[in-house]
Amino acid sequence: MGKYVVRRLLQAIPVLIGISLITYFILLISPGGPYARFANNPRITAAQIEAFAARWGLNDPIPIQYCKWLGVCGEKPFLINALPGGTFEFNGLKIELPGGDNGMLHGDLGYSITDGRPVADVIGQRILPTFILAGTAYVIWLTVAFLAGVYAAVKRYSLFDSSLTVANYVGYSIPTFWLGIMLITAFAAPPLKWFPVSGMWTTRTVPTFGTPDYWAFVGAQPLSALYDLGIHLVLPVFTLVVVSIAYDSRFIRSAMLDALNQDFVKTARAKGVPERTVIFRHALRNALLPVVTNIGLEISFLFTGAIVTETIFSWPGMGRQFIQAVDNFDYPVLMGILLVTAVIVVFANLVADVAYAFVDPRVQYG
Amino acid sequence: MQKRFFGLLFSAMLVAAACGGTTASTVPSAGGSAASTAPESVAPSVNPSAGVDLTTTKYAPEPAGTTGGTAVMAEWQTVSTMNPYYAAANADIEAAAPSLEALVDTSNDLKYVPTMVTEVPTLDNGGAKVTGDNMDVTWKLKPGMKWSDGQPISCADLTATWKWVMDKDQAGLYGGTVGFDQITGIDGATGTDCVIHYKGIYGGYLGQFSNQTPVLPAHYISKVPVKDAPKKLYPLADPGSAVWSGPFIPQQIDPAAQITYIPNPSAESIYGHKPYLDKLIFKYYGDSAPMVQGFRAGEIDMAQDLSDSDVPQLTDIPDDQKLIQDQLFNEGNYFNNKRFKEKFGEADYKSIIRAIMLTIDVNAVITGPLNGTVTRAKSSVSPLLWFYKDEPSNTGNGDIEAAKKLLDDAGWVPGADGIRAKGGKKLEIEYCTTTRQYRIDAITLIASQLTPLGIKAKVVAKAAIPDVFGGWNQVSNDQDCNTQHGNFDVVMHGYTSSQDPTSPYLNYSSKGIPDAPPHQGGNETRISIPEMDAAWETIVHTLDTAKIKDAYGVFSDIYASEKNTFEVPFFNHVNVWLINPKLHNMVGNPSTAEADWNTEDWWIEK
Repeated sequence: MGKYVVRRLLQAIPVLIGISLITYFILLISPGGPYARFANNPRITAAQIEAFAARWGLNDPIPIQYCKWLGVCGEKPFLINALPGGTFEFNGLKIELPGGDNGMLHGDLGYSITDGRPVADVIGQRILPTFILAGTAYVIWLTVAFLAGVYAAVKRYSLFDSSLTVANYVGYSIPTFWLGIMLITAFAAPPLKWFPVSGMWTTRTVPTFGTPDYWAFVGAQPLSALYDLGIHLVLPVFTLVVVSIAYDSRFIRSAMLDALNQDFVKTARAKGVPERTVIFRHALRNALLPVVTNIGLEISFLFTGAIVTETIFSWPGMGRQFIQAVDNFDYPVLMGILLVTAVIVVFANLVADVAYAFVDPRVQYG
Repeated sequence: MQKRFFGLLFSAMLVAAACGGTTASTVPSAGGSAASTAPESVAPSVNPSAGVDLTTTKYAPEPAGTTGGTAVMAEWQTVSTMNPYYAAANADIEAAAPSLEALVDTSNDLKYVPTMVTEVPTLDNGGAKVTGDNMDVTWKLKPGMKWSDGQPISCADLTATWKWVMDKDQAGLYGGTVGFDQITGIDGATGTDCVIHYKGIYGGYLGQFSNQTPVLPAHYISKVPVKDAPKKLYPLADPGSAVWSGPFIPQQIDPAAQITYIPNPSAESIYGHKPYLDKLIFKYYGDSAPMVQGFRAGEIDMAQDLSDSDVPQLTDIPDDQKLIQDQLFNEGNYFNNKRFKEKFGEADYKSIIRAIMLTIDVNAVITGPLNGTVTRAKSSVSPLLWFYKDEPSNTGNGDIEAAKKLLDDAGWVPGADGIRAKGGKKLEIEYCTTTRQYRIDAITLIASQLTPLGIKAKVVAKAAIPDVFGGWNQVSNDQDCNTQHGNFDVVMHGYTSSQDPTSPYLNYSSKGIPDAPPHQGGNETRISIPEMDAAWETIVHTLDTAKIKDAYGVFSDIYASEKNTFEVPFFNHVNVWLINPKLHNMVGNPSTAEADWNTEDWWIEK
């Protein structure tokens, strides 16, 4: 198992580099760019646009830009470049080391062209809100989907199964932005005003999430903080659950039906094994294999967020950040988010594969 | 999605995507630095008797009935910088407005009102003086003003700001260096009487240190190398490390969620009183629809960045909670004289353009695709501006009979397919616009209006950026619908006016035709009318408001005459703000000063 994991991790390196190469080129060949903001602005001369482009390295050929983003090309030799930032002395010679935007291979994702912040900071600020929103939704929808899918399979063609099928198709067909707006209109706007319209905290009374003031507030009034966060989660989580539950519950139902029709299930029943045991020990465990794969792939959602839902509910997460970066042609931020996504997907795949071995003893890695 | 923007000081801008965001969104064409482009051979005509009062405002804030409390204003686009010199979007300008002050503000009635100075320098009061080809402007700073860290504000800050803008390592200033590049020196040192010397007549001097171009603290900006300024000056992650001058200073910034401002401890030294609010919050929504719902739910006290397209969704909101004002942003149809001439010949092209201009029914566009939520424009000059001259609209009135006569007289006769032709050429034109739906709907309607005239108009919608407004070197020479390269017959887009009367100079002067290097003028219609050129030369070479107004009169007369073969004005967009009646002194602002230009006067009932 250990060798298998190491081998998969090593294989992930060229995969990630390949993904970054392709996404980088796709981003940079698309029309427009960060200097589009100056297009035809009569107060800006061609030389000033040129200076802006040069400052951000946008004048270099795309392969060179990618090479710099990767951290292989640069003003300093790669090995020096590969050291952490700061200065060190060597035989009395003070050598300045890079630190800031030295490239992805140094763990450095550069600076946002839009707001000048380090990309790692931008992503770091957004991950936790997304994790809270997506994680809550993920747990709820998987639990509900799992229970509903299994029950629908066991009670195939029952009223529950038919109702679930209809509900799933409706939920799957509803555009997220429409559902979000409708929920806000119905439950957040007057007259009901049961939930906040948007955001992650109550603007007037709660400090900005993630600041020392916020954590002080959490420490001083944990129940109030939890309630405030919870009430802001209701509508966006519901939106995500409704549109996401459909696919997983159908998937689980289908896998469970396949398992229930296997010979070993019939044998178990013929032997008089209690139905509960047949379902949960024999059928369900076998049905889990494809489900685990699917769940593994969905883990990346916990970190990358739901672009539309976060935008509609003004949730300050990765999805919203991604949209802003697209609007502004903020290549470093886009690449940072896409790279994080790629890493998580690759890692989640590995986790899913490893999970196979636990779910199905027949699977062996070596 | 971004609605909007652009530059108070920014010269006439053709804002295409203007709005909607996005970001970005937009873009311009246009004017340019009058001072930097004017020929030296033209003698300045300066008359010390200025004729128009640019400084007396009707804005009179309501005395504070109470102090304290929190006001929440909202936007649906997020902030990307707190340094307005790098601001490319309205949201950025709005975010910086409460925290960085300029020498003068632009009031809601478009007057220049002193904020950091004792008076606004004009020819009348002797603050602006013209000597030969040069000019000097004296700004008298209010004595005793302090930055948020308690350091004194002096002429040295003005000098440092000028040098910072002009630094060779500077990159990314959205407003460029226009005007600053005309300054030859600033006297005053650490005193409060600052004399700015210019190497020419710069008509935009009043807007040079206003709104988007505040004075920056010398002792703060000197700490950050200019090349690092976009990353490290006024950092979003650490607003506490920066030095401010506005009534409020940002305490916490989450660029995707909100900015929390607290009163500037030095505000009284500038405004004569402390801010009335205890706290100001700028909340960011993901879209305008949730923002409006947030207002309905009482989450916010003020919603901004709404326009005419939002009006139909706001009918349930009481009138006393809506503030609707004309923007300085209008739309029109622009005719490429060069292309018409090449396609249809020297003798006929003006008649053909005029026929189209007469046939267009602007009112049908306003009541149709625009749902009647905008006001009809008579000129590219906003009626809100002091140099506007009211003239009757003699185009855009759906006068198809007059149009037919023009074409009949020119020998263009309808063929079997209904399309007029002459000498084997058919009257087929390309009608371009950006991808904004109301514009596509508008020109589709116009194309149908032209069909009975015997003209076939092909509707083409292209991305605002880079296709339509991409600069000369940013798109290929044959980019369809590009205005700089002149690859269109007619184009519909928006245009943002400015209080600076010189800003449209290169849009209408033959010197602004972008076909010649450096390819930067905004005269996309390739219009060249000697009388109009002369009027523009007058405008950019005098500070005398009476003469400027007269010259604009000449321009307006041409605009309203048969000599106008370049432009049909359509409509003025409106700004819409939603305001909690308990919030006082939020009076809006049609300029890019933005509605939070006067937060020092805001107070809220408890």
